[in-house]
Amino acid sequence: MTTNDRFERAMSSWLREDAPFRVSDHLEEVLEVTRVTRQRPAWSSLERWLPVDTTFRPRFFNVPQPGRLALLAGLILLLLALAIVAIGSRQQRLPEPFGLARNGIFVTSRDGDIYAVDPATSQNAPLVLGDGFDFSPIFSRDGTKIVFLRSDGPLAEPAILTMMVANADGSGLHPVTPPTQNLDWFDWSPDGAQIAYMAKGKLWVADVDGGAPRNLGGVIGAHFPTWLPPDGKEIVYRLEATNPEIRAIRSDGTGAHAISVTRANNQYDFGSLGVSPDGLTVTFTRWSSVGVPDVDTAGWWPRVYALDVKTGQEMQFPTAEGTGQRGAVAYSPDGTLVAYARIYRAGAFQIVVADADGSGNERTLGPKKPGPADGNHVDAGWAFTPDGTALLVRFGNDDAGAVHLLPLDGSPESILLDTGGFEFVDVQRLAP
Amino acid sequence: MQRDLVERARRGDHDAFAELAGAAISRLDGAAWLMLRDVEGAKDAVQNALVRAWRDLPTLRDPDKFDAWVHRLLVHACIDEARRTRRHRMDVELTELDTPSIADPGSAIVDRDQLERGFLRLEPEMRALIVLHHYLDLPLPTVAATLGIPLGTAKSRLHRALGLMRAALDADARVRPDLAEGRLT
Repeated sequence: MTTNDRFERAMSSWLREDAPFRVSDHLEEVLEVTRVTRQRPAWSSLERWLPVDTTFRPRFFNVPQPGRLALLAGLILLLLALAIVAIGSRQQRLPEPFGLARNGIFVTSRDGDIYAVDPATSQNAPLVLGDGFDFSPIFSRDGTKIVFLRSDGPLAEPAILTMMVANADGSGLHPVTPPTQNLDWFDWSPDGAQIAYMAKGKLWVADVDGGAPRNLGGVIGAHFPTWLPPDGKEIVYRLEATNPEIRAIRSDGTGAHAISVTRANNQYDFGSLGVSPDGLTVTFTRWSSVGVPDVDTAGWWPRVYALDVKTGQEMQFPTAEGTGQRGAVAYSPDGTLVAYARIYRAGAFQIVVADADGSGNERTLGPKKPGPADGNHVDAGWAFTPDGTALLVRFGNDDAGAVHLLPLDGSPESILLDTGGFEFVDVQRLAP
Repeated sequence: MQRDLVERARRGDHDAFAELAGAAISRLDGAAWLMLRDVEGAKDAVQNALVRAWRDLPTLRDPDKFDAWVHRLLVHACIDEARRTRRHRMDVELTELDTPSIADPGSAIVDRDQLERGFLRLEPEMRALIVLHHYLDLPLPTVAATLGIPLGTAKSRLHRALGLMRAALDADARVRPDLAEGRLT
């Protein structure tokens, strides 16, 4: 036995003898707190937002620390800018629902209120204050409206939420659903007239201008409902089951059918859906031990696939030897590029941009960050900017995080926003 | 059994979570005490970790990784707690010694006070590494995953942590008359 061995044994022994009985029993104190603490909905993890083209989900932004006068002046300027945008939006043409667009403002939430953020200055201004606890704002694809979720009282579990819609300047606020239990994952239709969402595993469509939401086709176990571009005649979703599938259904509730052809290898397969802007391809992450390299500590390595919507043919995106991949895939607005996470065996991940046709040409962007070697948790969210010139990546977890702007032309990256309490973020699309 | 409890707790079953917390809290308390050496700080860290576990449980992808996930939450809570209280303690900077030891720190004469003094001089991140590996008996790949660092980094940090502890023990073994007389020079 070496000196080191003896030392480590002595230390292990000391740790074991020293640890017990130091802390008084406080289980009941802990449980008293958890009893009144609401759980975060499952969909509030980063992955929930990744497939949405212009959506990413930094949880904390850092508001710069200017003096009060400077902050006030900034807020006034931003409000003026918002007013100009609001007035201008009635006169200017709107962007197409898919394809390249001009970058607009950010919308986000903090402490139950909705805010607009100027990406150039990080200044924020309230859009919706007051009643209820509001969160998860998402712009319509034409950038003229936002949808978000509201709880009328303290967020209990299960949460009872109402989906609210307002104009981009915060005016015209109105509900589009009744208070609903387990309301989850929503997506704007391409024309901005409807919103698909799930509640208790069922698929629903709400009309933005009013009327009762309608349940589609008796689907049970739907997740990731996403309108299929370009016309939105169908809604793609993942069927949650022991053997999940990717399926589609017409927005009138008819014509439900499977898109995926192969059988899932496990309950995690066909996860993290992403849809190409032309609607011809659905990407997904396969968590499987079949046909992919194993990793020492976990056994599985995820890989990203593209599914041809018309033929059901699957294509595995190529990757560097000794690495895995993790969706959700974000498509560039013009559909030529995809972005996903590369998983390294040494326990790290890095954002990768590659050709969307699967021909390779992978290139890494931004820093390599620590993460589990099996890719089970990627502490980041990413999306292309509407103008397609850069990737917005939010690194970090609940405790810390920052939004990085990573130009695709190789220019130096910049940090747009750093920690600070803001949650969901979406980017407005404006006409080019 | 535990997987069933985790899945129930993920769906909001607080009784299931209470069972999970009850099974884990002694182990977590012990680990937190070792990392922080402060009873109130350890209680706060464990409470923060468990409250966050309950809050974020629905987002846990793999129920089988509940233990590793809670350990990670605890380590973060302990490091946060240590940073909050850091200003109240005297920091002692140590460098590893390349020279042969005066006393053999692996020998039976290493007493618990010496180990504690050496351990206290480590940064919270290094204490966490030692506690995960030598108290919770987690293999190094799991420790690396729990701390969110590459395996090679975990190995090198553990080596450095043990080196620093040995250096501290060596330093203790030297007689310093000024300290022995209760004077700080």
